[in-house]
Amino acid sequence: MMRNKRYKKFSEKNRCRFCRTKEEVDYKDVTILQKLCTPQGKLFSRKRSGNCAKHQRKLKNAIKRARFVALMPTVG
Amino acid sequence: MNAYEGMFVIDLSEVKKDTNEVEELVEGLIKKCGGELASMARWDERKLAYQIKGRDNGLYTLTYFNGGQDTVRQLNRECRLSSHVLRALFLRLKEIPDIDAVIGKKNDRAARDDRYDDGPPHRRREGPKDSPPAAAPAASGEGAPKAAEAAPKAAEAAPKAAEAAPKAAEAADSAVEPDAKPADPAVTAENADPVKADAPPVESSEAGEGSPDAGALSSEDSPAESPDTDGGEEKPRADG
Repeated sequence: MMRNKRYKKFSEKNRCRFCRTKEEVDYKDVTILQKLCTPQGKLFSRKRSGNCAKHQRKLKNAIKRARFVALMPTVG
Repeated sequence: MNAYEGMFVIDLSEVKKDTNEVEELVEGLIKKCGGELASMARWDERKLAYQIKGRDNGLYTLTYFNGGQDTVRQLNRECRLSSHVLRALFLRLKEIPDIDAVIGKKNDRAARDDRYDDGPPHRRREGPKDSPPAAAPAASGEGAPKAAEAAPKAAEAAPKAAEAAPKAAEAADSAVEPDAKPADPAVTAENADPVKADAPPVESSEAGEGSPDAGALSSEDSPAESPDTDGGEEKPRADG
């Protein structure tokens, strides 16, 4: 119990932008997707993007769809 | 009947964008494969992230339609065979949304409240890189006006320091050069004596101009370097 109270204050809530804004991850939203990629077009890890696991999986699919329809580059 | 979203990338060189040819093409494809078109709109005309079939630009057309299980499979086949369609993506949805809201959301970017515009969370800084530490907000009220006064002074000092840095670099470079110059005549004087004794007389004017200088340097420097010689003067021998 004391351990939970001690570690509770270190948790940062709402680090996931999609949980905070309650928006759906859409492959057409290129401006948001580009912020979650490196300049080379690679996906950021969950540590760097701050996303939760659920939205990181959806983001991965959205970026792959955007790459398929040439909204985002595949390389570089 | 299931609800689907279809994004078509149309080749602009094959289709005239000013007319309704694009809408007729897409509607014809969906009806041919057994679907019912619910709504359609031109999403964007933009440069592709990479070339598709040698094309750099494409017209993105967003459609929402209802169809059966085979509709999407046949649509994929028709789009692959068609010369007008570069790419097509179909997604199954729970319900068909309002297409005007989707287009408006895409255009309305200013209304977005994005807290992470300045980068990923673990790399966010409180201030820009170039700002001095004095720009941090002060805790007390007395410190705040002092900090506000110090901030413009620091801002003025920064360009002055930037101007002084290259000047200091130039002064350092110029200080190095005079030290190097005296070393050169000492090197040339040491090397000139054996060369001068062995070398035949040169008749060119340039060599003539150079040789007196070399001779003058050697006569001046040689007494200090070689104490045995007497400045080039020959003393009479005492043989008597």
